[in-house]
Order: sequence, then structure tokens, then C-alpha cells
Amino acid sequence: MAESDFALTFHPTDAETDLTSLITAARKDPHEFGALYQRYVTPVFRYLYNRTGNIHEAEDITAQTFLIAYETFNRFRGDGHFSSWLFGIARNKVIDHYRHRKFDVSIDGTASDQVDTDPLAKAIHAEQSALLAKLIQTLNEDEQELLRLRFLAEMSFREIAHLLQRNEDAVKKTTYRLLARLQSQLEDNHE
Amino acid sequence: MNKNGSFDQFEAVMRKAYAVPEIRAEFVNRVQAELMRRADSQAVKVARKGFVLRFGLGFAAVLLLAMFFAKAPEGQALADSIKHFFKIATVTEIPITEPNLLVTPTFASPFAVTLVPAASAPTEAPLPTPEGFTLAKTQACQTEPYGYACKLAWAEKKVGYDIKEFPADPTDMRFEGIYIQVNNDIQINYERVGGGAYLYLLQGPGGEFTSIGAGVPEDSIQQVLVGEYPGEYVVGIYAAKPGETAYKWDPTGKYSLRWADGERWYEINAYGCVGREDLCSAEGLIELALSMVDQSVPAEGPRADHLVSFAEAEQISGLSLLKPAILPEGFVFDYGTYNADLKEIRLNYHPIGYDPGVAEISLWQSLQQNPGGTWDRFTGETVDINGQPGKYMSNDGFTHAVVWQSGDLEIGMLISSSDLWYGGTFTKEQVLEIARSVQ
Repeated sequence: MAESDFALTFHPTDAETDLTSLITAARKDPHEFGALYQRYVTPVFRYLYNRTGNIHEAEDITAQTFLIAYETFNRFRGDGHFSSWLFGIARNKVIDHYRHRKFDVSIDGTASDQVDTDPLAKAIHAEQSALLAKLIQTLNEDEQELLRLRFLAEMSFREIAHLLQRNEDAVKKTTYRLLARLQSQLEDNHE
Repeated sequence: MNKNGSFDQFEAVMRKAYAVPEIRAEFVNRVQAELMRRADSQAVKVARKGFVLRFGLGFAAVLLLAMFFAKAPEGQALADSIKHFFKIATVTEIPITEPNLLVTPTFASPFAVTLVPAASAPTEAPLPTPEGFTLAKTQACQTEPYGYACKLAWAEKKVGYDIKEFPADPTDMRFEGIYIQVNNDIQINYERVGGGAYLYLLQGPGGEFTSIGAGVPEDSIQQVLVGEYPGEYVVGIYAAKPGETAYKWDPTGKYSLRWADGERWYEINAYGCVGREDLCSAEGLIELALSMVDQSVPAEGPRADHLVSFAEAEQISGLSLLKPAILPEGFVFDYGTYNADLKEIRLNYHPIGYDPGVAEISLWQSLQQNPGGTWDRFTGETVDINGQPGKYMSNDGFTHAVVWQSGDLEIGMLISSSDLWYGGTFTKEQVLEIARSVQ
């Protein structure tokens, strides 16, 4: 499979151009930050929900993330990496959240509990999805985070690479290997 | 189905597997409303500011010029800039007011040291207890009442936020102290074991940097990225030599990194860099910044580059070590180091109240390389140390060295002191007396 085929899946060049326009507009008029919020609020919430396993906590941290982003928007300079900057704030807020809670559970454990016990997920998801969810939980935290950023935060490989301070090609290859591995494991289980 | 199509389908399955509920519209609208409320408020402030500026521009320009020349010298140099983390200096020189003129340092008054029985370092003064906080009940303070973790807990209680910290003392550096500055800002100081390099980590709530120092020339600022956050790196400091009447920008000597993460600003300053040249670069400081954590991991076992006690030195080396029974008055054990390649311990003693390196007694101990061998590889005067042959060397009253053996140990002792900053001189007899007390 050609890797470049996957790179086009999420953010085409037009979208990036559009994002630059939104950022430029928000710099001139703070009200325009609302458009950036509308564009990113769902992926940020999805990402945080997976990290916290709780709707209210995910909403709380989502709100904090965007209010901090708004208040510090004049410090944001890398126009091409707004997503990395925004999710950097979200990731830090999650870390702070767990630190303040002082719970003796890891982020891994919380996320796993959520997927296993969420009655909604059990009710509406096909057997295939449920099995895949369990397979994802067997990955290490770095691998899980990569998939979260890709499929929940809907970040491009370039944005993920920038956020994680890694090489873009390395991020792509790691993601593809993970997908191939999960797909293979899924097929094996079906057989 | 082709392979790409298969992967597309699989990606769709992946998204479903995460089982994330729909985001609530009521929540989305509530946050949107708050953002718009803040935008409205910001727009009003900007409009008022613009009005005031236009209305009073002519008069204000005259007033500002007058204030510029009437203010204190430090103020003359500065102009805040919202574009930079650093303040921008707008003049090339900052006059030094008369009382602050630097004078050429005079040599310390020379004196002959007095030998006394070796004593332990004095215990630190207890930390003042913040209101409602019992240090004794915290694990860190029970384990080590005056250690880093206890002081950090104390500082966090005082300022009311969790302090970001290095995961451990940076290599070859040791923790010196934590200081609370204005605005509840925190400064954590490290110094190189043995002196010659210093590292300061500063942080404070909010995105605005506390105004410390005299600013920097705008062209000295290098834009950098600290992870996902923009930052700035500057090399240099306003400095003056003794006798000069103005501070001038010296593009060496201080290496600074500033960045903010939206909730807090951070600054790391490195000075000196002896033995840690890597810290005196943008890459070195950024690497250090990225290593910062919410909670450091306590070191397990002795640190080879900073042994804090004689017991640790024995533990890490596996040797039955010797120590001096007498020392110059005011000297105490400071730290030890262990060279695993040479299997050699170095114990360092220094006078209380002086900077590292100003005066020092270093005592090396290792297993004999040539048991029963001679001291031919050393030059110097042959001396007797407790019935064993040794060699003594000295260039002047400020530098002395003795080597000898005791049992299966080879021992070396180097005494050095600064005539400029310390002034204490040693005689040959005093040096040998200290050596003979090493048992």
C-alpha cells in the first residue's frame, strides 16, 4: 500500500489553507476565535473523553483547554501547527487533572475501565468494534496515544509529529504498522 | 476489494471502536458563549485604549520623553514588548549610579589557618511552617527534613501551585535552594558540584514574565520551540568591569531560555558552564526544559557525582575509607565523588560560608595499583606519614599535595585556596599533620 494514500485521508491542503485563514481572522478579531473553537471542539472532546472515561470530566477539561487557548492565543505563532499547540494544552490539562485528583489509578487503567464497562458502548457497538477496542487496550501507552491523536483528535501525521516531537515519516510508519497489526489480530480472532 | 479500500474500511472500524458519545450541544454552546463574552470584553478594552491613546498622544509624547530621562537608570533602558518573552532594551549602555560602581576586588587579608578537630557541618535552620501545613506529616520531610523534596513541598504550600521540576538533579549539578520571589514566582537553584557552573529554574503563574533584569537587545533573541510551545533563547547579559561607569551588553556568560505553556511561564538560566558546556546552548536548555516533570523521581542509592556523606562513599566504593581527624578551622565535609573506572573515591572539604572552589581539601583514596611499590611516579620531597613513605609537593602557601599509602589504600591529598577570595595559608607542617590524622 502506498503510505501517501493514507496521508490524504484527514486534512487536505485546502483544509490547511482554510485553517490559516481562520487563525489570521482570529488574530484580528477575537470573536473569530469562535470559528476555531467550532472546528476543534469535537475532536478535543473525543480525545479527552478517551483519556478520562468520564463525560463531565472531558467537558470540564475541554472547556479549560479552549479558554486557555483563547487567553494565550497571542503567544501562538506556528500557524501551521495550531492543532499541535491546542492538543498540547489538552494533554497538559489531562496530566494536571490526574495529578490533582491524586488517585492511584493510571490513565491506562481509567481508559480501560471505561471501554469495558460503558453500557452504551456495549449496547451499540458491533462485536468487531468491541474486539478491536480490547485489542487497542493491549497496546502500550505511546501506541494508544498515537491512535488517539490520529482517530479521535483527527490530527494529520505532520501535526502529530510536531506535537510528539518526532519525525513525520516515523509517525506514519508506526501508525501503519499498528493498523496492520490490529487488522491482522482482528482477522485472526474472527477466524 | 483493493488494499487501500480495505484500510479505509478498517479506519472506520477503528473510529467506532473508541465508543465516544456525541458531544452535548448545550455544552458546546455554553463554552462558545463564554468565549464570545471574553471577546466582547477584550474588544471594549482595546477600544478604550485606542481612544485614550489618540486623545492624549501629543501631550503624552512629551511627558513620556521627560519621564524617560528622569527615571532610574534601569528604567531608562527598558521598553516592554508584547511580542517577546524578554524585555527589550532600547539603549546600548546603562549608566551605573555612584553607589553601585564596581570597584576592583581587593585580595582577602592573608591569615594562617588554625587546625582543629574535624567537625560535622552545622544543621540547617528549620523551615518556617506555612499556615495550616505540618511539614513533619509529609513523607518527604519525615525522610529528609532539609532535603529537596521537603523544601519543594514547603514552597508548593506557600505559593499554592504544583511546581514543575527537573526529573532529578541535572548531572554533575546539585540542588542549592528554592526561593519564592515576588508574585509567588519560584526559583530553584542548582550549582555544579565543585563550582564553575550554575543553573536557575524560574517559573510563575500566568503568561506574563516577571520583570527581572535589565532586558536584552532585540537582535539577541533567537526564536525556538520548546516542545509545542514557542520560546526565546538569549545569550548575554548587561555587565560592567570594575571601574566602568555603565553596564554594556556582553554577548556571553548567561544563557537564557524562556517559554510559556498557557498556564505558567518558565525560564532557565545557565551561567559558567564549567563541566556542563552542553547546558550553554539552546539545544541543551531545551532538552532540559522538555525533561521537566510534575514530580521528580527520588534518586535510588548514592549519586556517584555527588555523595552526601562518608557512609555513602563507603557504600558506593565498597572500601573501608579513612577520614581526617583534624581540619583547618571552619572546614567541613562538603561532598564526595566516585570514579567507577578508577575505583577511586574523592572526599571534599571546604570552609563554611565561602563559594565552592574558593578553598578546598580533596582526599583521594583507591586500592593500591602496585602494592608494596615505590612512589617513583611522583616527584617531590619524601616524607613520613605514620611510618609509611610519601611525597609532598607545594608551589606556594596556597597549594599543597601529599601522596602516601595506608594499608591497601593509595591516598592523595590536595589542598588549594584562593589568595584573592580566601586568604588562608597552610604550612608544610600543617599539611602533613592533616595527612597523618587521616585514619
